[in-house]
Amino acid sequence: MIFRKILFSIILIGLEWIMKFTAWRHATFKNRLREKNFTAQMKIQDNSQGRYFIFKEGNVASKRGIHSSPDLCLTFRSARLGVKLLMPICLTWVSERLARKFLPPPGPQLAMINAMKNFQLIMEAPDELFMWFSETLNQILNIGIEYGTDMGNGVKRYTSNTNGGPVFVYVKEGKIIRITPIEFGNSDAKPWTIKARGKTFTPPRKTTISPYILAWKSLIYSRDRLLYPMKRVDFDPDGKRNCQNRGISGYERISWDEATDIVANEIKRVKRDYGPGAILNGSGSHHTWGHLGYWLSARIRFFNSIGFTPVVHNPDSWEGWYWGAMHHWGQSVRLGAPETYGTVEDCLKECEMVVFWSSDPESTSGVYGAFEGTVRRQWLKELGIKMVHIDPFYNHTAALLGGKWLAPRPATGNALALAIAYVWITEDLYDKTYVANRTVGFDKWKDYILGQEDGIPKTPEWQEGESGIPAKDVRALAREWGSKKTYLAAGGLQGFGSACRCATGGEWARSMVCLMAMQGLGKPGVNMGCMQQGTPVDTSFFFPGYAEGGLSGDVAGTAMATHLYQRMPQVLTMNPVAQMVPRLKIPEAILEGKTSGYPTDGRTIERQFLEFEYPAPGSAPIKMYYKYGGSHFGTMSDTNRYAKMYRSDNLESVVNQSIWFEGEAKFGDILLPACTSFERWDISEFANCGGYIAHCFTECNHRVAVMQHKCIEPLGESKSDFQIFLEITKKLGLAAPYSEGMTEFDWCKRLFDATDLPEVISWKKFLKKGYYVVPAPKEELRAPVSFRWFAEGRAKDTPELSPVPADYTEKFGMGLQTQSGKLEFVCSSLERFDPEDPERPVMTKYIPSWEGHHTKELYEKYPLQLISPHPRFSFHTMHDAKDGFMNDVKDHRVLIDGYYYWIVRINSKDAEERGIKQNDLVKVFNDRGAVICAAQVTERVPPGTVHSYESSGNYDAVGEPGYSADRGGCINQLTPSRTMIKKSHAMAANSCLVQIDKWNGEENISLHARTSMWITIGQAMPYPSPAMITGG
Amino acid sequence: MNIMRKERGQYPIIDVAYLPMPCMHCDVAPCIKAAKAGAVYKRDDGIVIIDPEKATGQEDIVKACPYDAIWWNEEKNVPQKCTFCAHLLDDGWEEPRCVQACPTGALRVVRTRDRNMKVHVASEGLQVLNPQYNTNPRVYYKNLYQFTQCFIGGSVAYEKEGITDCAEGARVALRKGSEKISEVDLKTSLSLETIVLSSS
Repeated sequence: MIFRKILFSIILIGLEWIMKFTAWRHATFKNRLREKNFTAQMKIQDNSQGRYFIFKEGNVASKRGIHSSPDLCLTFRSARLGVKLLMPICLTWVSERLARKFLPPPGPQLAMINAMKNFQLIMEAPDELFMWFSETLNQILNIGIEYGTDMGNGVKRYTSNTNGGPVFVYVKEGKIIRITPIEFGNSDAKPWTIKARGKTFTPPRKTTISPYILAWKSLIYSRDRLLYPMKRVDFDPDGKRNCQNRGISGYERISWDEATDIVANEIKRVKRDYGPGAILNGSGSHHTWGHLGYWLSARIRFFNSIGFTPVVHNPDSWEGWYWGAMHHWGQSVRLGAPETYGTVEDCLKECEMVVFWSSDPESTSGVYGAFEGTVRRQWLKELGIKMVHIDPFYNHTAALLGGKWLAPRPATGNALALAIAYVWITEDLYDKTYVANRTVGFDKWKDYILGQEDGIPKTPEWQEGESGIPAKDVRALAREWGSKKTYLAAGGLQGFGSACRCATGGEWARSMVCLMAMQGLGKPGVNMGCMQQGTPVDTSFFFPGYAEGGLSGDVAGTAMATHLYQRMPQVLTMNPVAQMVPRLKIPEAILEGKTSGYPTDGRTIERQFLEFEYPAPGSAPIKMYYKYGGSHFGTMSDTNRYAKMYRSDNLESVVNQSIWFEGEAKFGDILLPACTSFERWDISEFANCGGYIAHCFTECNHRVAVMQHKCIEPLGESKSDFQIFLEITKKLGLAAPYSEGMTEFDWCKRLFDATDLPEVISWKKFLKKGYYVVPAPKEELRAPVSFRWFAEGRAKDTPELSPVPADYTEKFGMGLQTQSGKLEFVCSSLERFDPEDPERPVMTKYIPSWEGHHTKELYEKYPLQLISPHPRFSFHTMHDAKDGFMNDVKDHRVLIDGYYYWIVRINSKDAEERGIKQNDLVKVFNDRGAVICAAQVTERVPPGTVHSYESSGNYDAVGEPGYSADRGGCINQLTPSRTMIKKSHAMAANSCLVQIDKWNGEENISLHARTSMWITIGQAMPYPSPAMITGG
Repeated sequence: MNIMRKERGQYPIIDVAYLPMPCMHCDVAPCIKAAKAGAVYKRDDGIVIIDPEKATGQEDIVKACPYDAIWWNEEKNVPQKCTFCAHLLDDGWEEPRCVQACPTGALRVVRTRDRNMKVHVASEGLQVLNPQYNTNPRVYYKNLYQFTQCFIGGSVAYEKEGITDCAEGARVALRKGSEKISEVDLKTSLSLETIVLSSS
């Protein structure tokens, strides 16, 4: 007891000397101390012991005792606790290695949090001072830290990471001069090798990056960057709000203090006037990369801290797999997608043919996978493996790899699938033993296929009337597939694909599972994939993915409960509001005051049935919209609705936090400028998503953990999202629980400590070098092939934490997540829920699209079927427009008369009929809106089908927003908002009928519409000029 | 660098190819001829460089290139083109940025003697683009036929008892008049093979 008291005293005295020493050694720390004059008290709760520190003019002195009125007071329950919590700091200061040996993480952090939660540790201080003090103490441990590599000539090379691969970032005189892929050094781990068919396959020793990542320099320095907080000129939170002018008003610059005041006051006001749930917040589905800055991390932590109505995402990437396929095989945690372990090796060794169905990994990179899979698909070509591409568009994967191309009418792929099953059944080309042992319900489905239920045998001739693909080709495909070991790639990443995002996307995805069930999913050479996933990297090395919640503190709303909650202990956050709004119905919620939806909840199969309503009982209506990140105009459906929604008085205030002045940023009342990931600290891994895509990094040839160096200072007055939220919390007294007294850099170290990295590399080394390549495991330790265990009737042996134990019907580990434990042709979950649902029958059937060639009246008006898949030259909206380099890629946007137009691809016959030539400006339109595009006349789509990518970052209404044509290229203005099936919250974008005419510029446009906004702002916005961007 | 796109064929049997067009770093460079005051020069290693200071205002340099590899920078009043990343190669880089970024190895840089290059060209069947320009380009292409040659594709089917099916094991020959130019055997069943025949 006495010993502890003495030790505590020593530590407190020691703190003064540590600070003095650090200030003496490092001028930066001395300057830091100069920033504030105050008195800080540290004491035991019963006042029996204490020491106070006087910070004055950059000096620190301390005195024993209790000060009468300290500015800051840190109280410990007991001396014992004081020693326990402060010792790690002192030890770390002496030697990081020593500290790690005797007090390994997460111990010290956990002790701190436990003390806080049990009120054994109390901090009393204004938020601003608390943050300063805490950050200063942490700075002591980080001062003089080295990062980056000196390249000579004043050039420093840093590392960062993106959703298109990790990068080297070259900086000179505080400016980024170039961004490149990472080429490994001699000391980096060697890659794996696969031996197959007498050859050896080894990937190159470097990372790949997506093309748009090379454009990042132009996006960082874009003249469209938001550099200062702004306020809409006719928005007065204390007077008239003029909501009807959102989208057309100008903006004026305000200070951060003023901006955070307005935001904090609005937060308080709507809660006071209306109650819990009055604040609506959502984000895009993606983010600039970085585990801690991700939308599932800092953002959630903030909004949980103030209470909000969350926007529920529709399962956009997965739609038909989630609402449909899941019912046949479970896989709910993956939102209906299959596991894909070991499939690269299995495919190389065994596969004879790959069918790419709605699969374009050369454009989509699977997801986040850059071009890692490309070299592996080249190996398929080397081995002479046959390839077939089913897609209404001759996509980039088809163009690169070659092979037979079949282009069904959009949203008729399931007819094609049923006809394939018909051929297999009538010609005995499926695995009868597998179907008998590993599946249930086949006979009933077989009857349907043979036409015994509805009198329509699903023959190749029958499907020709639906899909337009000649019967002979379907028969040929079915025969070849049925007699070869075939991999099915449904989507670029398995469980994706545009075909799952149409009126009958569920039925398509369901039929994919059923076809694989007939061929014996899991047998050698019979699995799902196109080499995009399933590399033999080390799946046992722990590094979290962004879906695991970073520093969100949210165990309920993120995947934090799987690992991170134990490995990176943090103060929990919890949103008390139960109310939710479905993302596709935000306009209805605002304009009509009510809507409903179904949740995206992968915990188990049945949770998707649980309909919810807005408003939730007892919750406040939404009055404030805090919009974060990527624009809905280019990504959601029927997006004129979102423009109209903004101008309603129902939305009393709109805050928009964005990096660039584009899209929905032009509709905010208060604009908060966020900086890019290159201007802040973060930490992450290549293509590591976690959560709903566990082990996503098996897309990569190497696992690469990256320290995302803060390469340059944030431009203008922009701040990281974490920092912006912190500034607002300071105005709400929430800074301490929000930040835990730590900066982003400090959190990076905490996350580093939570991974398996400390076992193989020191923090210092990792920070300096910037990346670590995880060695590939020995051949014997590679993850086994997915579904092989299932095909062979064994317990699950792949490294997946799902399904949870309760979801197994048989013994734990035996069988699938379904009620029968087998692949179900007739879905037990649907039988339990709604067996008579005509939109989602208990077994998959052909259902004509509710917007397609069968909807006669609409089809006559709008005879072209539009598909809008994920763009090749941008990651959704992130790299598009905003004056970036990608604008100059002729396959992305076309420069005509000084304006960069989006592209619509139209077949030469359809073009000729309309007098349309290459690069003509055309109007793509239907009842929902009109979009002006540049026409690309092509053979890559059949007559009757048109193609235009989704995800324009630029919304540029030629007239009134929401009521006029868009010149920016938001093709999503035209897609239906009707949910795929009534009992879903799902996007059916690819069931969209349009007409195309030449555009004669008939609407009035202000060519300098954008410039005029800047003119309102006047001289207050000096951007880095193009001259500042040096070549490199 | 400019990238040209070419589609050959007609729906549903088509072929798409992309042709990268960097500066050709010609041995008989028209841009060097057109430049005044030595504004464009060729280094010993073969890289053709535009000196931005000396070339200021010389718009003729842009027009001189038959490969359209030179652009005019209005802001700086200077012609610009691919530099082969000379400043990086001089700094010890092994390859230019484009070669580094390409994931498929579609771009390759070779540092070798002229006579060795001739061997490469012969053994790999490399070609230059538009040799009729007579500029002796230093950029060689493999599989250039995808861009320059005629594409002939098709599928073979037959009708039997009212059902049309793809022909298994068909043999397809390309003839010019009565002379057979080439022949293709469809290995397995079906028109799942896209037959590509080219005539020179």
